[in-house]
Amino acid sequence: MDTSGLTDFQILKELENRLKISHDALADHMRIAEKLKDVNHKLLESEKLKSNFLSNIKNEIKNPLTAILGLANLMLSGEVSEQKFLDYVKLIYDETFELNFQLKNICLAADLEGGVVDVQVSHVNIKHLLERLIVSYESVFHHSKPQFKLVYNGPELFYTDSGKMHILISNLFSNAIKFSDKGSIIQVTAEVGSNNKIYISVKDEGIGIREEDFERIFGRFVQLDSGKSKEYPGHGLGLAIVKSLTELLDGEVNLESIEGEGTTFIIALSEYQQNEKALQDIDFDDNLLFGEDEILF
Amino acid sequence: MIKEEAVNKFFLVPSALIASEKDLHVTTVLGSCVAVCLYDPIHKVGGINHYMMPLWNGDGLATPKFGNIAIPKLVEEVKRKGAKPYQLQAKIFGGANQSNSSFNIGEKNIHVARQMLEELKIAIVASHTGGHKGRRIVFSTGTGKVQMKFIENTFTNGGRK
Repeated sequence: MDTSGLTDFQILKELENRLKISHDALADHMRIAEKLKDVNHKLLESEKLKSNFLSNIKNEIKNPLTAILGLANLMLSGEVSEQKFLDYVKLIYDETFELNFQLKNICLAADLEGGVVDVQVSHVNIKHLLERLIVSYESVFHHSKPQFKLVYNGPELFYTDSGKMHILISNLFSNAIKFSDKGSIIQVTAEVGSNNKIYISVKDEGIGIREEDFERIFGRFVQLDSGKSKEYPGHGLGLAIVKSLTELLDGEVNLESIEGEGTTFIIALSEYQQNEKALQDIDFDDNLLFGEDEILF
Repeated sequence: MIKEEAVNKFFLVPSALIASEKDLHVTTVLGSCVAVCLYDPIHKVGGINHYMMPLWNGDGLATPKFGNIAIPKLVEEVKRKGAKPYQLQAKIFGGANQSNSSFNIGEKNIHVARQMLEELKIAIVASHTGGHKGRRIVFSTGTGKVQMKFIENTFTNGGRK
């Protein structure tokens, strides 16, 4: 530093200042290092949960497959009436629907964790998407008779990724059905909020979630009831996918719940704003002369 | 040299990563996010990530949205494509501070990159980080070169407004 014209006192003051800045930076560094240790510990814990997941998933795949094989075998025997044949086809469809959903979830979770997921945006008719999913879920889960009620006050079209939205809503529906009693109502609403965000909420009348579990519920492979007495099926991926997918689509997920009365999951999404010009504006070619504001590393 | 039309262009969204033994020109837009580019000059394999937050805390999936997940995952991915860990060189970009809040995500993102790369013993051969402006970069996975341009828009996160 240029010390000309400075008194000894001023130089000392300046050195003190610089020492303080470097101390602060070091303290920051230490704090992050500490946090990294803590996070790595959590990562190890989460890896342990992975083994629970593997044993859960075994049942989730094995059970529907056994049912499908058994039903197909009966149909092939040629000894079933026409009505039974149709019933079996419906059962096979239902089991396959669930299996397909679970496998899609697992593949998507692997893609999200691998960082290979892409966002394919288009103008999506959210109302249509919700209606179609409600029809599918009411048909497949006819035995538990979920009664979906949709109140749609959202936009006609919304710029987002249709496929991802499909999986996102499917997971919320699947979760609501899982924790609902037979014949209870699942209220689905969509509305436009401030900043043109769309708010989609799915409210069930299920067992509810304790407030202290609100954050934990979004952890991967986390199931609030686990172990041998596990009452509800699942592999603990659904809500972790909901969280990660919502964030990928520029949104956030929240929940409200009262134990014994039900839970509402609310997703808030902005229209996806990918900088499409990014690809056109800059053309990599190191033989070209760059403008002043372009730097090559 | 590979002809321009033979080179595939790719836009990297936040929370994603890509590695290739072929020459891909990967564009990404960074605000407070950080992109780490890894390159093995002997085997000509490169990869890039784009993370938004420094540390995964166990919430949601362990995705490369977080630096402490994105960096080791990228190392694995370039290794899978044929790079050798001891040959790897790193370049880091982004981490701008675009708000006046004291909660400076950009700085923390840069910190994690430097710390993890040091732990992994990967040398940082170039970097352009911090400041207040967003950046648009194009990384060539075949040459390891990065072209960077400042962008005027006020991006707050992940290259999105």
